[in-house]
Amino acid sequence: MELTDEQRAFRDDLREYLDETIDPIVDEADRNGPMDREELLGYVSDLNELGVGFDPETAPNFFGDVWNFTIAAEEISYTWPSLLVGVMMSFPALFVQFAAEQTREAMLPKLEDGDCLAALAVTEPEGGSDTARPNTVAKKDGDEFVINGEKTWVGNAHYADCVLVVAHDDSTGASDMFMVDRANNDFETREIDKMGWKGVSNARISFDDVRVPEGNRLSNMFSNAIMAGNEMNDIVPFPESVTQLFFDQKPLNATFSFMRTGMSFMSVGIMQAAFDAALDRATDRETFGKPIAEHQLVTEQLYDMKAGLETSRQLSRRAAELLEDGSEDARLMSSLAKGYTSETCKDVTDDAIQVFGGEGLKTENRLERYYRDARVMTIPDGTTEIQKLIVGKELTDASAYS
Amino acid sequence: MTDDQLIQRIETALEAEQDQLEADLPAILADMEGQTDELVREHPAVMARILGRMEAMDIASFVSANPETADQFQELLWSGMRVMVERNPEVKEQINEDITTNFEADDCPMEGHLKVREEEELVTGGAGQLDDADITITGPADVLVGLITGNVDPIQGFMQQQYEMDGPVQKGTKLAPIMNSLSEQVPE
Ligand SMILES: Cc1cc2nc3c(=O)[nH]c(=O)nc-3n(C[C@H](O)[C@H](O)[C@H](O)COP(=O)(O)OP(=O)(O)OC[C@H]3O[C@@H](n4cnc5c(N)ncnc54)[C@H](O)[C@@H]3O)c2cc1C
Repeated sequence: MELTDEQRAFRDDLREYLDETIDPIVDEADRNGPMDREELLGYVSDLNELGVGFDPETAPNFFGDVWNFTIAAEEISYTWPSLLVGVMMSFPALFVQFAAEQTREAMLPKLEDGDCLAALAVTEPEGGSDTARPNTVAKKDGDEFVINGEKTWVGNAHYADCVLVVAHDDSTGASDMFMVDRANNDFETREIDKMGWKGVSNARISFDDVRVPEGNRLSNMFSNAIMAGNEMNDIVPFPESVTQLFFDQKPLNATFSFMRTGMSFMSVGIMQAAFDAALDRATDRETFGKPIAEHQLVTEQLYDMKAGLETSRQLSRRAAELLEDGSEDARLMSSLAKGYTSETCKDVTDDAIQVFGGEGLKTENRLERYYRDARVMTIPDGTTEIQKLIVGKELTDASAYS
Repeated sequence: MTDDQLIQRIETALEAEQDQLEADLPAILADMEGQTDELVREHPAVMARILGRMEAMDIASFVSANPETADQFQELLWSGMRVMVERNPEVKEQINEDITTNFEADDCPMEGHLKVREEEELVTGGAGQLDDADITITGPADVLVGLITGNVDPIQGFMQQQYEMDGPVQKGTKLAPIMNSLSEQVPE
């Protein structure tokens, strides 16, 4: 795949920023635990200038362009995966534009200024991977929905201005999403300390009789926006081909195909960083009177790492191409790519530590961070086991979930 | 049977409990066959009441038990739509593109279609399927009927995955406002 001049310029500018601004601070920033709101907003503002972001002006060219999105996923993750997660998981902020008046009033100015942070709350403490039947319930009461339930592991939730919450809609018996904005309805969060992706916050949320206007139900937002003359692509920030997949493969599945392709490139970015470090080390470090690169067992490790990295990159690109084509195989390939690359990322970062020897284990070096960040990759956005179930269902049309 | 007698009979049936109505309906629908347009024009409120009562039924099991009613019921439904479009400029305003749609119930043998014609400012529909329709809508019979009568909002229902829609997204989003304005015309 050849990048266009524009895509290359986008990547080069992003690389320059990451090298000059993020690389010098990342080790300490990540070690100190989750960024707070102000820190994240500072980076969001820098990234906006480079064409990465979730505000209405930036999103169409970022989320709306498969290649810009995947280039950014790889490049940012090369330097700091947590930063990518903080930015990417804020995309529900865009729906504020179509929410009920009280939410628009409170949040639109922030969104337009680029400082409306958001979160997507799907996972529940009880349900885990089984997200199709949420225990969180939205009950209709007059013109409002009253939401009760718990969500967990929600990225950005601790400091987010608004959260898009998956809940069982008691009025229709279907699953839907509801926008809760903190200006009108506060909710409690508790941060979770975790092994990797330490720079970004994940939290548990409790919704206790939280009332939102019916216009904050996602299906109403879509309906109202389309009745007001918007096209589907004015509402969702994704490319037209992905929006078409909304029809062909159901809206939530198409959204997941897009996000999982991003996750797949994220693993590629982490692997590339670990591989580059290992390659340098292999030519620098000498044992038994010669560089370790001249010991064949180390060569084999480099071979394995490079093979893992390149197969992962090709698979991720294939998933991106299918998304761009709006292919019916996009769901299969994005799950295959996310599952395969995240597992491979674990192996590659593990090998990189081995090539480094004891140095790889020191917390002052980056290798152990690569390894911890890689270890997280196989769990969010569907565990590897869930990706296998999706691929199996796509291949055979037989469900093996239960 | 004259129109008046038929209307009288329908009104009596509408007074009955749901079970009795379900037993009477196949014969009533059969008697209405071929004259639904006229009946809808002359007696819109009575026709709306039948549709309303039918919505409360389990349409899939009714149609499965009385397969011959699938087409008759649709004839009534679509006659209603045709007449409403003829009479209502609001609906005509929404028509700015040719769109053909097939409907297919996934829980009973019921198939229908809808044609939106820009030039004639017409919305027509009926039983059976069109060749090469732009859009295919598949779902439970009660959801499909709800889409036409306004009980199911087309976009909301789609987002909640109450039904599936195949075809170009751009045509689908154009169809939604037309269906919404149609269902707004159904008398309460
Ligand atoms: C760092 C991080 C960030 C996250 N961010 C978000 C976020 O922003 N928003 C959000 O909503 N969620 C988020 N999550 C939650 C994430 O999506 C879930 O952790 C994930 O879906 C798995 O759920 P679980 O942890 O409850 O594991 P469980 O569902 O309890 O699974 C436990 C094990 O059982 C396996 N398993 C479960 N069901 C099956 C089955 N049917 N067949 C075979 N194996 C099965 C799983 O693969 C896993 O190995 C995040 C998680 C992490 C770790």
